[in-house]
Amino acid sequence: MSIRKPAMSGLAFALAGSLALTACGSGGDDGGDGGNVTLNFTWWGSDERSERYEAVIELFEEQNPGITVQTSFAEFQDYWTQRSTDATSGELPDVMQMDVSRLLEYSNNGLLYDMSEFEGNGLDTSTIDEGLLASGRSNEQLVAIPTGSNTLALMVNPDLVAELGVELPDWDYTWEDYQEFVQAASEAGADSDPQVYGAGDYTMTWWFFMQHLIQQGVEPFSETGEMNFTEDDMRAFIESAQPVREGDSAFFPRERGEQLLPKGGFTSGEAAVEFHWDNFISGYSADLGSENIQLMPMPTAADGEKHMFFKPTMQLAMGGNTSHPEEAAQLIDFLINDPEAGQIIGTDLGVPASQSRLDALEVEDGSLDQRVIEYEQRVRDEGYATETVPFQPEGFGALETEYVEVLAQEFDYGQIDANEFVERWFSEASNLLVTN
Amino acid sequence: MSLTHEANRSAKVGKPPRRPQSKRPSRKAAETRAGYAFLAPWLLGFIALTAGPMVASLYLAFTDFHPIRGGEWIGVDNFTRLFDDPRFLDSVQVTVTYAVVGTPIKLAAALGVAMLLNNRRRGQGTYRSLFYAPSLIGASVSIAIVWKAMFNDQGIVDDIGDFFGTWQGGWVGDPSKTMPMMILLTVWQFGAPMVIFLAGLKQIPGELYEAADVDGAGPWRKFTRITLPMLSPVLFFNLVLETIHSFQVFASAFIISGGRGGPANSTLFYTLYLYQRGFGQGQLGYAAAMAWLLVIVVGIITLIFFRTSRYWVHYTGEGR
Repeated sequence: MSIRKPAMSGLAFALAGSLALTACGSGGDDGGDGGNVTLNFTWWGSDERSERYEAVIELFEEQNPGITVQTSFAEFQDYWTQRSTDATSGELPDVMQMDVSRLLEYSNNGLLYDMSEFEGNGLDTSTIDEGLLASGRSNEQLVAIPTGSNTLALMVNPDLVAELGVELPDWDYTWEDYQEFVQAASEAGADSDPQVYGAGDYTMTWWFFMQHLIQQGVEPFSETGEMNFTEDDMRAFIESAQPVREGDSAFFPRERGEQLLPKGGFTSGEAAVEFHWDNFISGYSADLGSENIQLMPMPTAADGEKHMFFKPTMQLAMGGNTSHPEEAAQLIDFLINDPEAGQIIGTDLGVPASQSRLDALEVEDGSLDQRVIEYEQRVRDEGYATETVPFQPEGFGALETEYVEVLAQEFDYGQIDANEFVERWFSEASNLLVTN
Repeated sequence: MSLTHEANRSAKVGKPPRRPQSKRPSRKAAETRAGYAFLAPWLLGFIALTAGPMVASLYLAFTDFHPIRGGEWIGVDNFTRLFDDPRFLDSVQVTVTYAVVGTPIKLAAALGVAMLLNNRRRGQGTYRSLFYAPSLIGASVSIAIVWKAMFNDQGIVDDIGDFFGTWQGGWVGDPSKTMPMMILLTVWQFGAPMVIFLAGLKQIPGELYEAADVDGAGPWRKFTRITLPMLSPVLFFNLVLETIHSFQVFASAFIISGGRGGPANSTLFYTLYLYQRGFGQGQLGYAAAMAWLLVIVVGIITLIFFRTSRYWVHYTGEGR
């Protein structure tokens, strides 16, 4: 056997391999020639949301020949893992969903494109509620545009409540009333197969701790990122649900929730109610397979007030590294302002931030969209929303993850008690929270 | 796997050259140059993709580097923090349990099946392929998803359990059952060590067994006195390789727990926790410290294996 032959084939193989590598290297970028622009657009959310976005993108591409939009989406936690990797390599998407809880992390480090130059010049922000728009301004730059507003609500599955034969509390219910309802519902559902519960443990959700602090008159974080609450505050909040936890038929168990993933207890029809942001109603309805979901406000605090607040549901931002800022702004304008797009998106990104879009939105009687809009209107009219959204310092998102994803899990499985929960959260917080 | 390839290569290189040595002296230099030329793509890749990042990560281990905020030199803080971190200790416990329980079972299964397949019988090629198949697909994402579905509530394993009146309510949500599930998944992929065992078994001279038969040795005695000692170099190789593999398990745990390591940290493998810290929370310095600690610990374990090997690994002077 001659040495030539394997050598030649080896060389050929190596060449082929290096060609393949070069192909990979040049593949990622946009095809900017011939007036054709490719934008990357990414979001977090359910399949249901993606269907809406895809329909809107199709419309956008139709009206803007020459712009192609490449879409991708992920689940919330994975989404941020991907974005931080993008940020490191300077490859943030041209347009992406942004959340106030992470905004400062990105804007303080100059990773977002300042959209001021397009304001009123391709990107119409004039009809957006001033307070909401302010959430996207940081360091005198316009780095994010709010899509809409949302507020916390109690999602109710009226069919299940009726099946259990328990009575829903009125809108002026207290936290104690709520706990009693959960206990009653869990008791009534104990013999169902699968077992049905009232609700999950709300103290294990970060935002209800925020809501609790606000109800106590505590603004959770100062503008410099200092915590205004103590270990005792957190412990008291977690222990406030102890009476339910200790009962025989108490909160929806984490163990069951693990098995139902990616669905939850409420969306599987195994929990009667659940606190969540009101715009989740459309995703929840799709998962549950029923449109019959009602919204109730948060329970009332000891002082007789609800102390609710409106939050920018989410925002749209542009990666600072974008090479097509103009087209990206055009896409954001379309997503925020176009009435047809608005009709498709409905209230999935919150009740539209733009007044003109809200006015143009044709909601069917009894639709989910109508329920969200009416709910938010009533929260305003009844004077429940007395507070502004809490300041979310750099690192807020990581603090939430530690609370919800890490410690809540161990707590629900009984591996740690409230004391350890609090101790560990504060010890991690010192590494996660950025103060200045 | 790379090690097995290496072994194959050196076996080929070891063959006596078929072509008579050239008389021209320049020939050798030319061959050396050609050798380096062929090596260059790998070498460049190694420096750019392996050695470079390793040096960078060693530096990061002493900083509080964050992918977005950057970071500063903080000395050994990351390493001292590790030992006050309950989740780190959980992840060590999970990984060690997995390695200590899973590896011997996997090797035993591999050896057992290899011995069954060593006998000449009809269709042995088919059997070997069938037993090897899980190793080809086992590391894939889809299998992890199938595995999760099987062990979920009302999954097939739960149904079988119900039939026998045991195991109610799925394994995935129960922290005490996720480890057996993960170990089953790795044991099921015994194909790679099996193939190596099979090759080792083929190397054992048949005369030894014949002589043992003449002396009246039973199957157990033949196994412990001939098969195991003769197989010990292969066993050693598999043990080292599988132990290292089991410390590196990531994909299956990531998929089955949705990247969370749950329920209750029961699938929080070391590499998964490292990933959570580094990429989920952006504490790349901390994650780099974890990575280097893993390198050191795996290095020490491998060293212990090598040091103790002289007491139980028998190399025959000549193959046969």
